Amino acid sequence: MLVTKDLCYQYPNSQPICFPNLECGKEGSILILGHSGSGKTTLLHLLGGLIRPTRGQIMLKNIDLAALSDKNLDLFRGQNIGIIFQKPHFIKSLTVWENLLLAAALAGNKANKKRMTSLLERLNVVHKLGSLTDQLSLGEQQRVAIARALVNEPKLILADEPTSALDDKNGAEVATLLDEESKRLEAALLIVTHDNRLQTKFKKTITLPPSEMIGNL
Amino acid sequence: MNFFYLSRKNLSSKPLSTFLSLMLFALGISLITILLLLNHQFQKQFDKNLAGIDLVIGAKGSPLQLILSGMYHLDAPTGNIPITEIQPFLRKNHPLISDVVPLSLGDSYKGFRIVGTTPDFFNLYEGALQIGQVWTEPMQAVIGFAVAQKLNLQIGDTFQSSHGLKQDDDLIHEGHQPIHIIGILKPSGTVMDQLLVTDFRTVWEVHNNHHPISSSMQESSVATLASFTDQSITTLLIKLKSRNFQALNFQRNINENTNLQAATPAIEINRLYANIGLGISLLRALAIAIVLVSGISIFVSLYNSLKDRKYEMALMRVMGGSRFKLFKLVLLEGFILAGLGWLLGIILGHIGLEMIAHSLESTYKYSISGFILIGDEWYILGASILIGILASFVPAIEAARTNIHQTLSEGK
Repeated sequence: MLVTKDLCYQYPNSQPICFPNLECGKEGSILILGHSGSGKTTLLHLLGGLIRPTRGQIMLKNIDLAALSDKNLDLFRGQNIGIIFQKPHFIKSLTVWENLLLAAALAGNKANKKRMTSLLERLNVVHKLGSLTDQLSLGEQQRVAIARALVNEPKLILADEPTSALDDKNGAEVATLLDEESKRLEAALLIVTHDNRLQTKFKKTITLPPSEMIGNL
Repeated sequence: MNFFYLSRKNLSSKPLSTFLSLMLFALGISLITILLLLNHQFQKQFDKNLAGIDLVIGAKGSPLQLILSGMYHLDAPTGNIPITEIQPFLRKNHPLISDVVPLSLGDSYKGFRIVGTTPDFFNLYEGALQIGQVWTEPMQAVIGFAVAQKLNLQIGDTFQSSHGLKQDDDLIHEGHQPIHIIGILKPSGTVMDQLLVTDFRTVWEVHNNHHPISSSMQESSVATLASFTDQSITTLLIKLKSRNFQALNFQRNINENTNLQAATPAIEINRLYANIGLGISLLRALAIAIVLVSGISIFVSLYNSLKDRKYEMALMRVMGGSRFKLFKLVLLEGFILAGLGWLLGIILGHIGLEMIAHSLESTYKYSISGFILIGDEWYILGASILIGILASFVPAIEAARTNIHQTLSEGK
C-alpha cells in the first residue's frame, strides 16, 4: 500500500535528511519513533504530500506522489490521506459537523452523512456535532480531528504526535480509536511520536536516527 | 458545504470588523446614491419645466431670480411690470413671438403658490384636466394634482389667497371673495402640479378688493389683459417663432432699451448648475473617498483575519484544497462584503432620500422620491464589486501562498 524508497529531503542551507525505506500494507500500522530533530515531522509531511522529497519515491496505491502535479497532489491528498496533528486545529467559524462537511467538499467528495454520523458515534462525539470546535475539551477535539481525517475513507492515515497533548485516559482512547478505524478502513496507519505509552499498543516500530548521524552517512 | 457558506461564516465570526467595513462601505454608497438620485430628479424636473420657453420677461433684477420665480416657482418675483410697457409683446401678430403667457405671482395659499394667468398656461406644460373645467371668469381656479391631494381640496371648495409665499395667517387678503376651485389637473410631473392657477384678474381683484374689476365678462386671454392699461403683472413667458440672430437682438434690445429684462432659461439654469456644481462635486468626492477608505478597511480586516487563520488555510490545503481554492475563498469574502455593502448602501440611500424628500418638498414644492431606480445604480454595483475584488486581491494571494509545511510546523 505505502512504499518509500531512498527518501531524502534537504532544507535550504543544510545537509539532506534521508529516511529508511518504509513498507506498510493493508491494516499495517507503524510507529515511528525518534528524538526531536530527527526529522519525524519532515517524514510525515513528505508522506502526506505536503512537501516534495529532494530525492526518492513515495508510492501510495501504486502512485508516485512526487510525480503528481500540484493540483492533482492536493486532490490526491484530500481523497487518500488523512492527517491528524498533535494539537487539533479546526475552521473556528464552523461547527463540528460543518468541519467534517468541509473536509469532504475539499476532497471533491459528496458527504456521506450516514457514515459521518456513525463515525462520530463510534468516536463518542456525536452529541457535539452542532457545537463550535472551541467549545470542546481537548480529548473531544482530538476525536473530532480523527473523524475529520477519516471522512474521506483514506488509504493512509498519518498521525503526528496525536496523544502527546492528552492525558493517559484520553491518549489511550485515541490510540485505540486510531487502531480500530484504520483496520475498519483497511488503511495504512503511520504514527510519528516519542510518546512511550503508544509503544505497548503498536508492535511495529521504526526509530529514526538523530539527524546529525544521517548527515554524516 | 460550499465556499459561499464558508466565506459567510468567516465574516460573521468576526462581527465587529465586518460590521465596520460594511457600514463604511454602505455609507459611501448611500451618499453616492442620494447624489445621483437627486441630480437625476432635479435635472429631469428642470428639463421638464423648461417647457420650450425661450424667454422670460420681467422687472429688472437678477436674471436667475426671474427664471427661478417665473418658471420654477422657487424664488420671489423681481417686481411688477406695467401692462403699458409690455403692450408690444402682447400683439397677436408679433413677428418673433409665437406664444406669450402672462403671469401674476406673489400670492399663495397654505404654502402653495397662486398663479394668475390665461388658460394658455396649461398648453406650455401640456396640462390636462382630471376633472372640472378651466375658468371663464375671475375668482375661479384650477389647481394642481399635488395641491389637491396634500390640502385635500375638491371641486366646489374655496380658498383665500394670502400675500407672499409663506404660510402666514396675518397676511391673508382679508375681505376678498373666496376663490372657487372649478378644476383639478392631472398629475404632469411638472411644477404645475404644485400650483393654484387662476385668471389674471383674480390677483387684481384680491389686491383691490373694494374695487372689483368691472369687465369680468371678457374672455381670459392676452387680448383682454392688454386692455387693462392701468394694471401690472409680474412675468411674461415667451416662446419664439425661431431662435435666430433677430431673436438675440430682440432680447438685447429689451435689456438695453427698456425698464424690463429678458432672460434665457437654459443659460440661467446652466449658470445655476455651474454654481451648485462645485458643492455637488465636493460631496461626490467625499462619498468616493469614504468608499475608498472602506475598501482599505476591507483590505485590512481581511489581511488581519488571514493572520489569525493562517493555520486554517494550511489545514484546508492538507484536506485537499488547492491554492486556487483558497484564493477564491478570500476573494469571495471581499466580494460578499462589497456586495452586501452595495445593497445596504442602495437601500439606505433610497430611504435616506425619501426622508430628505419630505423636507425638500415642503421647502421647494418639488416632488422628489427616494423610491425610484435609475440605471446609474448598476454602475455603482460594478464599481463596488471591483473595489471588493481589489481589496481582497492581495490577501487572497497571501492565502494561496500559504506554506503548509512551515505553518504546520510552527503551529505545534
